[in-house]
Amino acid sequence: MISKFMTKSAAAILMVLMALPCYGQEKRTVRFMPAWIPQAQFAGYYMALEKGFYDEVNLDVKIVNIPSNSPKTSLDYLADKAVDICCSQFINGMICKDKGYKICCVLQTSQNSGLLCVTHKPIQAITDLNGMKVGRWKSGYGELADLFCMDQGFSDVRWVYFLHGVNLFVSKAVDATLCYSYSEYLDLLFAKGSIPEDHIFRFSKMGYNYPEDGLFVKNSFNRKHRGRVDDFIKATVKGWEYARNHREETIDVVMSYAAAANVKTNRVLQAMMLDEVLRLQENPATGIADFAPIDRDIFNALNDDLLRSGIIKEAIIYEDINR
Amino acid sequence: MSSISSRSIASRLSRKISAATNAVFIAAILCVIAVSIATTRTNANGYADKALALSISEIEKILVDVESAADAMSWLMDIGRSSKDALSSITEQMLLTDTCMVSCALAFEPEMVEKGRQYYMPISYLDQKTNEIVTKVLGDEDYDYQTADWYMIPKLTGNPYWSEPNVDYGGSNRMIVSYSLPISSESGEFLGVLRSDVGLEFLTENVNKAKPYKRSFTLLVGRNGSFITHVNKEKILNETIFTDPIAKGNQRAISICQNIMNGETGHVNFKLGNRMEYATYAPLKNNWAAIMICSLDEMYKMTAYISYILMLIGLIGGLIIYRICKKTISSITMPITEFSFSAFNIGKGFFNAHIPSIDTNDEIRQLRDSLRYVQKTINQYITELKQTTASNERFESELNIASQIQQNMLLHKFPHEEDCDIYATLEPAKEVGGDLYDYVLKDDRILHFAIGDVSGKGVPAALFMAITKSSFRFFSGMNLGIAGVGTKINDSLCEGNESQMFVTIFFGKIDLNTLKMEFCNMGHNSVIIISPDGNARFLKAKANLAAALFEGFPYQGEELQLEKGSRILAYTDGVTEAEARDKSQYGEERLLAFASSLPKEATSQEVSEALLADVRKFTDNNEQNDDITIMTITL
Repeated sequence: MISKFMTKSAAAILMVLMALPCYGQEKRTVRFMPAWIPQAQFAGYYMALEKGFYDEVNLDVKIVNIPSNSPKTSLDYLADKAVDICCSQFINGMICKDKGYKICCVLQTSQNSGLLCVTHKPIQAITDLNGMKVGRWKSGYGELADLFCMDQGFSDVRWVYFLHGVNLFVSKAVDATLCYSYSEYLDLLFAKGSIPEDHIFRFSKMGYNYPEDGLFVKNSFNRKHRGRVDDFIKATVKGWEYARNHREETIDVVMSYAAAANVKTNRVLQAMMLDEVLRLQENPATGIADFAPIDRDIFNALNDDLLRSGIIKEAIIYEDINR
Repeated sequence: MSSISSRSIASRLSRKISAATNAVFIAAILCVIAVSIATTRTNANGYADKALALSISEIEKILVDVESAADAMSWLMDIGRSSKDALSSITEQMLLTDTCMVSCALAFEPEMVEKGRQYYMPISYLDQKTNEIVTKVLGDEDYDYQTADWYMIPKLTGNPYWSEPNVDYGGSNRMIVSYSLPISSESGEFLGVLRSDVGLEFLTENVNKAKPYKRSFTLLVGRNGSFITHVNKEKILNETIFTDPIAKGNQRAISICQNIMNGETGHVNFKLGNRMEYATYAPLKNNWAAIMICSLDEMYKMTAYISYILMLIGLIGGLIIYRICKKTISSITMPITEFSFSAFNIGKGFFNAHIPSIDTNDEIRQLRDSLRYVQKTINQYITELKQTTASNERFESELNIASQIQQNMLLHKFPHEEDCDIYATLEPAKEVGGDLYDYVLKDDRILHFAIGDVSGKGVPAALFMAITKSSFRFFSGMNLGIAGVGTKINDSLCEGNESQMFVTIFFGKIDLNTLKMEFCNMGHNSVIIISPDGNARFLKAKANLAAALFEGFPYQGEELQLEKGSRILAYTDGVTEAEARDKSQYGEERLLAFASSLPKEATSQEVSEALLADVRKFTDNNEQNDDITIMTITL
């Protein structure tokens, strides 16, 4: 009698434990690198980690911050296998792909371009930009500006490469500077109090509204750990949705990550950054954040633009870069 | 009593005087406070400007020291680049030369020190733990100083540059601002940058040396709005001058901050948390801005004390003035209160109530004198009134007696025989009247009767009536004939009639056996003869004069044959001239109608009383103007 009862109990416990997805499995490690230092641009990843969404899919995610003075991008660290998954701009992914990086984009988190050019003087005409000394990042991210200048036939734009920040522009060492609407633009806003709209040139409104941030993995990692990547994507999307619906809590978490990394920032700036990043996630056609892969037509246009400008040497096949 | 006190003249006047005085006090205090605030503000502006100028001077002295040191050593950068050791000694020497610096670096362009070497940046810094100078060389792909602001900006502009605050990672690891001096060779080739670093802590110490107020502090703000020094260290590097205004959407604050960043000088009040603060701002020569924050509470502390003291003085002064006013006015108006009690007592009948004495010679004394005069007058009046009242009472008593006598003089017993039914009534208008009636029944068969009306009213008329009645009685008993009786009565009344009174009389003599009536009308109203069939008519009689007018006047008598059942209704003019409220008179027509309507079986008393009631009804109890006398004889 006792033996029968114990058998039944053991079977029940086993069934319950088997029903739990993670039980009995060793957590799978994922080293994830955001594209830049801790800030609200990466709020979805922090929330997925903080709210246990990665745990839920049996992932042990370690966020590896990129050194602030590093000349290398997150894709370089990915190529070096220093991390398993990284966040980077899609264009950067295409450029790296062209260079021979065996990588692919597994999730498109941004559907719009936030690239701006801010000038000291009002922009009366597009041609005003030609002949200006314009600041841009040494590590990249200014390819759309190259495309634009090539399309406009601007040959007198003098690029000044800096590591990061807006001080070159503030000190008037440059006439204009490239910046992102969720990052350096906010730094400029907090440095000057206000920026007149006619001092801002938005590439997204000039036919260059290409998607930006996405998640990249090495092809080999994707093949070998497909389930791990899928789970990471699933939990990340959940993290972004949580961030969208819990703004204040998300900002708290972002501030704690920034403080841990000794990043100098403030809550007001991070709140504005989160709002802008979430706006950029919205599909321009639907106004809803859908995390869909880049539209094939847009991809083809981007491919053509990059080829035409010589930024990439060979056309990239949609399926090769989009998993 | 308390409510009376609160409504008293003293209270009201005191309140009004206090209110007026307090209003003047308050106006004066407000003026003083306004002037004090303006003065404090002017002084505070002066103090803050001086303190800020001092702070700026302290900071600029440091900056100039650093700049001078860098300028002085800059020429060595070109010469020393042939020897790495020499370059390191330059940075060390600079640290030793200028105590303001925490670190110093020489950052070279690629291949300026060594062929093929991209980066070369010797740096010396003061180690915080050992307090010793540490020198090392920085620069590689992970420490790409050539893309750093402090390097690029002087390179691009060709001008020295004071950097925004930053952390010197890789070097001293301190929060610093750097003076970057671009260095060129003699040929004008850009060699690199000589960087001299100053610790933010050092600047914070020096910027707050001058304080106009205990809680004042001075901020230094860089060109990008970031705080170089701040009393709240959390804000340094993390926030800019625009962070709070943008967060709160405060456009005015944003505008003020932009003015500050544009190198303007000025003062402004602003709210920090729940407190109002005062800021003075001015630019530094290197395009930084200095902002001195002073607490308004602290600035206006003395003004606030003065205001509180003035208000306290005003309050106490107001109370004192109220008390003094009330006491003084109470002492002045106290006699008025006593006078009011005296007047109250006089009103209650204590005519000799005490009226307080007054020593002063003012309006109160006049009031006292007036009150005493009133008291004296009232007493005199009361005395006279008492005498008059006693006199009147005595007169009234006598009048009552006279009335009684007059009533007694009139007959009140009337024969009610089948062939002779007599009834008469007299209603005097006053206590005594001038009307009269009388009858004498001789041997039960000869009836003498009379009805009369003396001119005037009151006692004289009553006395004259008594004489007339006596004359009628006396002369009707003599066998003089009806005209002779009339003449005798007239003569007797004329005698000694100094008061010129007269009387109308209708008198007659009826032989009850024959029913022949002899009569004489001496100026009286016509009597009514009611025949047995009820027909009534005025008896036409010869017009004789009223009695007592002319002595010796020959009166004429007349005769009338009556029938069994005839009725004689005699009356005075009090009946026909009785007035209703609308001044209409009862009149002869109404009287004749009344007489015509009488039932045959009515007794003389019933007739008389019915006529009197009819007159009363007509007059509606209006005041009776004249005596009313009615005499009815039914045969």
